[in-house]
Amino acid sequence: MNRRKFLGLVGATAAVAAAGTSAHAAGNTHFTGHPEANAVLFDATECIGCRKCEDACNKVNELPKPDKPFDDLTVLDTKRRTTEKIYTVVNKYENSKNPNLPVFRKNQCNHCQEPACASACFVKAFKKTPEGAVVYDESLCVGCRYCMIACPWSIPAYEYDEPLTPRVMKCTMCHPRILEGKLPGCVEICPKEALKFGKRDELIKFARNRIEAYPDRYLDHIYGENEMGGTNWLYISGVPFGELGLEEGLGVTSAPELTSGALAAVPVVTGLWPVLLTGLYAIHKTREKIEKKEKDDAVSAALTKAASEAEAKLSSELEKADVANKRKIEVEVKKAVEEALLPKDDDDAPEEEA
Amino acid sequence: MSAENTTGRSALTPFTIVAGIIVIIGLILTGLRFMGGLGAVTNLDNNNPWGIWISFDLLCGVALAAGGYTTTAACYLFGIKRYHSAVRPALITAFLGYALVVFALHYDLGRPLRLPYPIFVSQGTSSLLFEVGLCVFIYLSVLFVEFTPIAFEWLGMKKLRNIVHGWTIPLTVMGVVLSTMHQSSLGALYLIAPNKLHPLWYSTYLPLFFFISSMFAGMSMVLFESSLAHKNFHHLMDETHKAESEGVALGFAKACSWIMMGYIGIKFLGIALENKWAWLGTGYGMWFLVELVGFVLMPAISYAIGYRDRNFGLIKITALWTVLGIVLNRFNVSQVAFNWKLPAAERYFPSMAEIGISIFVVTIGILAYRFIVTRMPVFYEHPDYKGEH
Amino acid sequence: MKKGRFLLRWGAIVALLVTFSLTGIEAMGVVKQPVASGEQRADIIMIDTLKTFGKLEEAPVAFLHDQHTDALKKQGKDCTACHETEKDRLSTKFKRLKDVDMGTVKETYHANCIGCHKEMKSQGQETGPTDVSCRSCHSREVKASSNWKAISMNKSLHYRHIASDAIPKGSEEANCASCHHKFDEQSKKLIPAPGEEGACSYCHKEEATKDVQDIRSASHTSCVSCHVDVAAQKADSGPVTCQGCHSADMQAKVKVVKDVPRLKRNQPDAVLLTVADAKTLATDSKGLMKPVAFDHKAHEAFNDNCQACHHDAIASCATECHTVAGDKKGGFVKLEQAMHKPDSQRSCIGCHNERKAAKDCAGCHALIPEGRTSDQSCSSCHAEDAKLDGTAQIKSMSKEDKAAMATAMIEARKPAGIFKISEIPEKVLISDLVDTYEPAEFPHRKIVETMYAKVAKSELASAFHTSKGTFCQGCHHNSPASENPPRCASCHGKNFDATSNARPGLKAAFHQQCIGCHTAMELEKPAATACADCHKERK
Repeated sequence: MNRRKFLGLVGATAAVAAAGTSAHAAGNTHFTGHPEANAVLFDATECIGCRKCEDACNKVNELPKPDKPFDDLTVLDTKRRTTEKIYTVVNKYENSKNPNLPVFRKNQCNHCQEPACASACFVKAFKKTPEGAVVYDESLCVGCRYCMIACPWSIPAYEYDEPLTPRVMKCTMCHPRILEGKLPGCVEICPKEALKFGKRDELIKFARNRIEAYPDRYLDHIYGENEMGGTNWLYISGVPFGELGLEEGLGVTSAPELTSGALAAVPVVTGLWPVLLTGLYAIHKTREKIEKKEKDDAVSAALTKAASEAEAKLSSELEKADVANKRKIEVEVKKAVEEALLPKDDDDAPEEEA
Repeated sequence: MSAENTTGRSALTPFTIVAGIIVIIGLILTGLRFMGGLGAVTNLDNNNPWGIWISFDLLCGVALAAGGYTTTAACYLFGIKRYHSAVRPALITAFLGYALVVFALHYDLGRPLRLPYPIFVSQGTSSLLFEVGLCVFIYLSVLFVEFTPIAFEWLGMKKLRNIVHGWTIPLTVMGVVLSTMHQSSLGALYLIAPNKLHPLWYSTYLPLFFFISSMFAGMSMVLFESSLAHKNFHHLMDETHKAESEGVALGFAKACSWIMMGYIGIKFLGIALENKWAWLGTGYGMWFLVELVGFVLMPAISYAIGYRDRNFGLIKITALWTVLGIVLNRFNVSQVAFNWKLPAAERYFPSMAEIGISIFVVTIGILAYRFIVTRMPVFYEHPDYKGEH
Repeated sequence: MKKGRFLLRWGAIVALLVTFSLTGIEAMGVVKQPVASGEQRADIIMIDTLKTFGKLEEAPVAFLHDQHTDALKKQGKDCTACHETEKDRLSTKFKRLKDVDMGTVKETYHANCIGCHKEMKSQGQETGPTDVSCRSCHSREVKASSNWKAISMNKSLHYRHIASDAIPKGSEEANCASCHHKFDEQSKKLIPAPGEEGACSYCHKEEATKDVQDIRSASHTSCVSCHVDVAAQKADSGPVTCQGCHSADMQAKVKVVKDVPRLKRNQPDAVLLTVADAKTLATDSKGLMKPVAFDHKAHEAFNDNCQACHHDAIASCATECHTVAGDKKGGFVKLEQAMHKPDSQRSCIGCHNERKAAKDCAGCHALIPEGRTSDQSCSSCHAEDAKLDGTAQIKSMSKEDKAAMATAMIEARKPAGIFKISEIPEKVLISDLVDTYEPAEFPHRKIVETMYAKVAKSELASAFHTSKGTFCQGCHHNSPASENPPRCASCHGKNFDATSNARPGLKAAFHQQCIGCHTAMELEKPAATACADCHKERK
């Protein structure tokens, strides 16, 4: 075995382990969000379903024109999701508080504080900016679509019809506009300020005050404050969030935390397995050697034993033969003597015998 | 040795005709895929970004190629020498399996040319897919290196062959390490989506489930594949191989049986720990029991019976049964139980083209396998290296 | 042979798997919801009488009362077939007057239920279970679902009873005492109590006591017995079946008398609500909250019955139960809470908040934070009269003085009218934000007049919108009421700013105000999304 090569390979596995550990470290710290991060607060009691935000989003992001114009409100009768051509949609829901007055919710990327998409992306194409937005870098994207699997709200969409340069498309919170000091397109246009833009912590304070001031109007919950580790798009509503198509019971565990346990196994495996397996190999190798030696010993012992036994047998045989011979000789001698002592008339016989 | 016997005599056997048609259709579909994008050939959409190319080609492919690490580990690390003749077929299956996974990924990825990006350009270390990618990449290299002695023997490159042969143990250790990580990570991929995967299948133990099931998946695949090989390539096998194969079958059957029982145990442990018993009463619960009882518990018992009675026919059937069970499990996790809250109209069902490409990929695998085993010393020991392990 | 068995086993396994898969897949689509069975009944009685003797050995029996009443009626039998009478009144118990012991009660049910069923069966009639199998009756499953709804004696129903020919008229005593009575501790008898009438539930609570029946038995013995008797005289009578009173359908059909005359129970027209508990009055001589003049007469008209406010007894709230410091008698609810708790329907504020949600009021009030009180809130109800301070005057005032003062204060509460119509702008052109749309033409005067008409129409609103500018502040909020309020843009900037008092931006301020009010008042037109109805699109 080539020892140097072996060490090199062990080094390579250690590199994998190191990669895993750093990721785990990132996932294991309690992250409470960038301090200056912006957020948007959606107030479901204000939204009137005018679709102006969809229109603005379309223009700001230079997305393709939709089949039906934005002032066609019949579109609201079907449930829609975000697509590669539509970053945001407003959906209409039945109002359990007042059946005559439907409620609306705008759907778009929630810009998680610890985004599932960013944590899932194996080329770091998604990034959480300190300003609050989760942005996508198409120059890195391989198109594996794991981000779409990972997103708890199924927001990212994909250009399935693009053969060469498909992209993952989602709301950018108008990050470039934020950097210019402008409001996101949808927030700017919203006539009723159902969308409010501001620093996340200030918006949360605002939302709490609002819920306190209008206890009958709102449920005492800010969706997104803690969901999936917290998001930078927040919601307040008068009807349960589940009725607005926002999944409840997502828990407060952020996506990186969900996978940190599995990633933590990497150093364990890379550390434990080689040692254990090499040990096992050594044990069985040694055992083999011992067995071989024992076998050899046993064989030689057996051989020795067999040889000595054979010798003993031989000598005893020889002895027996000796005794027999002696007896024979004696008998013969005796016979000869007897014959010799006999009268001479039968002289021929002894000669023959001898 | 007998390459000419099979391929040289007549190119137009039913097998080659069918394979040829599949390859031609596959090439046409390939053209469509790369000219028109994923949307042109698949039923994938924004709610269902991963279809059967992930479920079957990737998840099943990797699980079923686990025979490589299980067999090499058993033979080299645990010193079960009687498995030696199973090592090379298992290695070939594993190598081809992984190569095909990577090959099939080119279809599924939006920008296949960027496949090296996660390793060489921008490393998303927090991603489990990165772990999978890196491990598969390294493991494929390892398998390739492990495979080269076979090719070198065939090509008569004695010196190179001996050098690589000397690395067997570290390569095997690496194989186990890498397999442990990426087999489990494939399950861990779904940890990030607790709200999308049905609670019966979602568990923090997912990585463990995937890893453990990969063990018996790999062994069963080795058994299943060897039963096919015995049918088709019997004439290529030397006496040692034929003689040892029964021992391999019995050993693997017993091992599988035990591991599968353990697997069932921890599956229920997972349910108990997260108190999901109530879910068993639902339709999904039924389906979960179908998977677990019908495709794990029953094959496990069947393996045990096969081992006790030395019933090789039963072991062979059970191997196929188990393989189907693994396929079912991977499909359940990635398709049936995934996105289970979506209304039926928004659920995914593969298109004919997607199925076509998957068949195409499998056919390529079979062709490559045929090419290799008919030429290289896989089922027999090369006369120059007899008795060397 | 061996092969056959092998195949058989495999066949069985495969068949099992297939059926399992099929049921699994079929059931997978939808998680089944328990379907509410079609029939809804108000007469499901769960017989669990033996509960009083300890843990039940068997599941309660679901008994459909009306079904039995109907069946017996067909046979010409009446209530007495099952219920015994005591002092001309039907007992609510089955075939007995008292629960003696467990064995007897059990036997009463078993013998009589099964006995009657058997008898009917022998006559060839359709009937209930006759077998001795326990589960035939003692099973938890009820095929129908219950739509039982409590019924309350509201003002209209009460009046219909007073006016009914079936109840003796003439003297108040005879009339009221037909139902109202009190329990005389000494004679242990029920005696009439003219002038002290109250709701049944004041004495008859959920649980019976030694002397007083529980409300359920009391109401059923009284109401149903009387209805039965009256019906027997072929007179117009109330319902005698379960669903007659307790199904929502039947309740909706009950005749309602619109203008019910005021009840005669010597109640005051106006009350001066003061701190009335002796302890507080004795210790604190100064700084007590000023009294509130309460228009009792007006409130009688708004409420269905006395219990709306007098929930436990007809008495002064503050004297014994809701004292300033709170008392055990009043569940430690302090006077302040009893009057102001915003989420209680019995408190002044709680009830008024509910009234503010009516669509005529909600236009303005939905936008005003309900969770906060303003500086002026107190003086809206508590007299501003500076002379009324401390306990001394109140203590020294006679009941008549107080009533007179209250009446005077109530009289004084008149809407102050509105600012001079000619000075209220007729139209306002909202042009602060002209951009993609032309300025909005706001019919200001028309809206003011409409609002004033609504305020003047409502006694409650008139009592509270007392200054000329009060209701202007529905829109011109957060600044003192004035004939010339500041422009909206004085406070509302271009955009929302979470830090600056969380004011909406100007555009949102307009839209929230206009659309919010229209939505709350349920005005169909213009629709919230019909932009061009308010401001023309700019070409």
